[in-house]
Amino acid sequence: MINSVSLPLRPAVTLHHTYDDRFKTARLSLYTVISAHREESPLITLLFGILRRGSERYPRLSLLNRRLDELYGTTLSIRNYLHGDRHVVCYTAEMPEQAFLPDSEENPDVLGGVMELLADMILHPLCDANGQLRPEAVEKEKNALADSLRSLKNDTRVYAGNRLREIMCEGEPYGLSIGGTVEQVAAMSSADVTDCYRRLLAHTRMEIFYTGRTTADNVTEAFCKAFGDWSPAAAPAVAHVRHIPPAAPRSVTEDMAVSQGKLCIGWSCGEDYTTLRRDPDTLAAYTVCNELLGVMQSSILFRTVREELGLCYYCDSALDMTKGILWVSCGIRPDRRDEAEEAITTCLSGLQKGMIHPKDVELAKLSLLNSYRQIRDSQSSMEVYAFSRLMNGTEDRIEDEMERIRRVTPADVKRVAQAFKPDTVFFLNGSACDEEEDLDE
Amino acid sequence: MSEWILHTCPKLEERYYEAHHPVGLHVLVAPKELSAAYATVGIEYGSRDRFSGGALPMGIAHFLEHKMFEREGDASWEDVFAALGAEVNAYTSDDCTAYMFSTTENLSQALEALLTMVKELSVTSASVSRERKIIAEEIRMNADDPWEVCYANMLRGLYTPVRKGGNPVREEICGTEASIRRITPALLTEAHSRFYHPSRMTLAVSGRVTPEEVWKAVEKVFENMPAPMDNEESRLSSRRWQEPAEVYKPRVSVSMDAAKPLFTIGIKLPSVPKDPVELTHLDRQMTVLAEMLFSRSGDFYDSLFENGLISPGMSYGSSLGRPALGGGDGYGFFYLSGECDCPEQVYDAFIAYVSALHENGLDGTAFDRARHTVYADFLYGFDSTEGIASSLMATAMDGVRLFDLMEIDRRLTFEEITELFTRVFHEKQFTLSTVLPSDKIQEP
Repeated sequence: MINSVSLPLRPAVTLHHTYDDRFKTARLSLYTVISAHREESPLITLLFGILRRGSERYPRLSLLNRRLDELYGTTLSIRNYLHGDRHVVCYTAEMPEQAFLPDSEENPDVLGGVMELLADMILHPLCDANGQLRPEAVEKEKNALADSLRSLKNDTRVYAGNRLREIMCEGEPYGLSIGGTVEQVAAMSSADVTDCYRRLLAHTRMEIFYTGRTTADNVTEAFCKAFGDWSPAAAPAVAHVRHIPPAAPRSVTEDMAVSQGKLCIGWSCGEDYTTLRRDPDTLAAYTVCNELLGVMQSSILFRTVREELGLCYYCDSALDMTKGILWVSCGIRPDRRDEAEEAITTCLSGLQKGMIHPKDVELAKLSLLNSYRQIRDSQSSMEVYAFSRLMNGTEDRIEDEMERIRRVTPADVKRVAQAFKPDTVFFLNGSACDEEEDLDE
Repeated sequence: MSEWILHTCPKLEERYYEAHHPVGLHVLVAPKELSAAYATVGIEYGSRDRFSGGALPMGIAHFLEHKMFEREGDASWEDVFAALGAEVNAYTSDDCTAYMFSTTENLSQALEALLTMVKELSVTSASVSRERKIIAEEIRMNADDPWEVCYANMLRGLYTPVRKGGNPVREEICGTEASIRRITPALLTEAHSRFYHPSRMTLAVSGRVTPEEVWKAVEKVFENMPAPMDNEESRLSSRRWQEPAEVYKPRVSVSMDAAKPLFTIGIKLPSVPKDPVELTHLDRQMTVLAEMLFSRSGDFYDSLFENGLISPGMSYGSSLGRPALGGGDGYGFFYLSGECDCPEQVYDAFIAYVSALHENGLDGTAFDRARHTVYADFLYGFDSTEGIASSLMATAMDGVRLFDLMEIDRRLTFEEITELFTRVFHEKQFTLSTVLPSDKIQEP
């Protein structure tokens, strides 16, 4: 049985409760949603790292983790990311359902325990005598954050994707690095991050998602017991900033001492969720266009750039309609960059010219429909879908979206493909690549 | 007619059916009321099995996995699955090649496609040549990943080179650019006919499906196939490696364009049993011991983290491999991996920690906590058809029943975990692999 309801717990705190008895684990997520901001976002990133290090009741990270182990192996993760112009920080706890704990032992109230632990981390961080977040914890977390920023380049695929987004959306909230720069982090003080914490505690937007076998009343009760009378005021609404394409397409190359180059090509279409709110059929056409180009397993990019030309191991596309941008990424021999760029561009221009096999559009739609049907198979995908709906301000159900996908025609795909204009190319040049040898003996 | 054995676990409200097809295929079916069905077929053939029945080039099992998606005619197997609305994938490990799909419709047709795909191989010189380029990019991609390199080098430190008679688990699963040059259509065909027999395969399916539906697909694909020969195992005489009990090299270090030094500490088991039940028991012991020693709630992580010796994300675990085809020994090791300023300092702390544990004994409360988390991990696996089918396939290939793991875990004792620690955790069993940033290497 699945039953969903949304309940206001406080003026700025809402519980989205789904009763679902199909799973052996329950999932609780606390989303904090704020405007992405060049100065504030890195402070918030640092703040949540500090809060995860310990609280009044559990003053060390290991003690926090021990408590999670005692709560029958509950896991707690933090996601810190951009959703369009929004900076989202989310705590997610996954916990065994009470019904499936071993019979023979004395079992704790898992949900109550998890809620208490989250409340302790958020409302009762470790502070010094002056009420400031402990300077030594701040310094340690600053080092950890700076290290994690430097380490982004260890994953060249992710690094190149991030660089494309930053260059493409420079000057826009979506172009930010939410962790800031190493220099920004070094300049942060304990007072800065404490002020940020107080601001966030007083004005925020918290969306709580629960999926499991505990009733909405009992989840509400657990929240009220743990969070007491904390009642933040609503944070200002996040303003939408439209992506402005450059006057002329940009191309940026960086060198790195690796053997494989990473090519990322971005296009923008001048439309996004806000402009398409009254035209969801066009939104569906964009989704099918992206699926056909580079998402489904026999996508045009896969068949052409990988299978026919043998240029790469992976070549895929992604679409973000919060900003109306499409990008393709692949890993290639650096000396084959031009060939790859031309092949990828030709794949998109084929769609723009209407060189679309109706059968391929049907395959793309089948692939998407398969994905939509699977949303209800996992608590995390149900939650991600519901959160995206909430952020995008749509009331649509999964079935509505599926119906629109079914209606998309090859002509629709051609029409939306034509909207994509070249925006930015980023190439991470592998400067440690050897001369190409003949691989065939 | 199929003869199904029903396995049930009332506590978890789960069940599955098991049968053996006359052609040798092991079949497991777990009905589950979720939209997506998931099916996986595992073949007892991985990267290390290239010495079974004569030597083949390094990376051939992985190469074969890539080429199994090719099909006579215009459409590839990817296209066939796409037309059914199913998503297909595959992986190769050191001891297994697996193919899988998930779908919300056309399950029977997708099952037939999966089994036909692994039954038939269709390759040409041109397609093999093209695939070489793709796999070369996969090799380069892995070679650029400092974490992958650090882990792979740990294996090279733990295990002796193959040319010196060591365990091939140390070899790259994808092979090298040099080794894949030697792979030809003829060798791929040979490997396929040698290893891809249904008697070496395990099929596991979970979703809205009945055992009868699965059986029908199996019958349709394998109806004219002969049963395996009785003495097939002996036909696969293999090079039986003589892996020493201790590590090959205590230190392996490379420099790369990494942001910060990385470390992976490997802890090698001196020997592993051949009996599947004993192996599974050991595997569960190792899982609990790794959790006790290295978890983020433990003393060791606490001291490293609070003293600023490591970055927050330290990973750990254990790995245990069953004996190879034709009789080569299995393997087992623990690992511990992270990012730090000074790997030697972390290693010294590790040695001091192990030494203190030898002196003072393991922590009983850590044992209790570890059992909680291991139980939770087991439970999470039943929340998706992918988790269920993958676990069913893996346990069946290990020769045990999925629900038996719960009972094995329940019976684990603190004393046996202590005995495992005492037997394995000695310096001659340790390898430290490091990746040092190129710009921070100091000349001696």
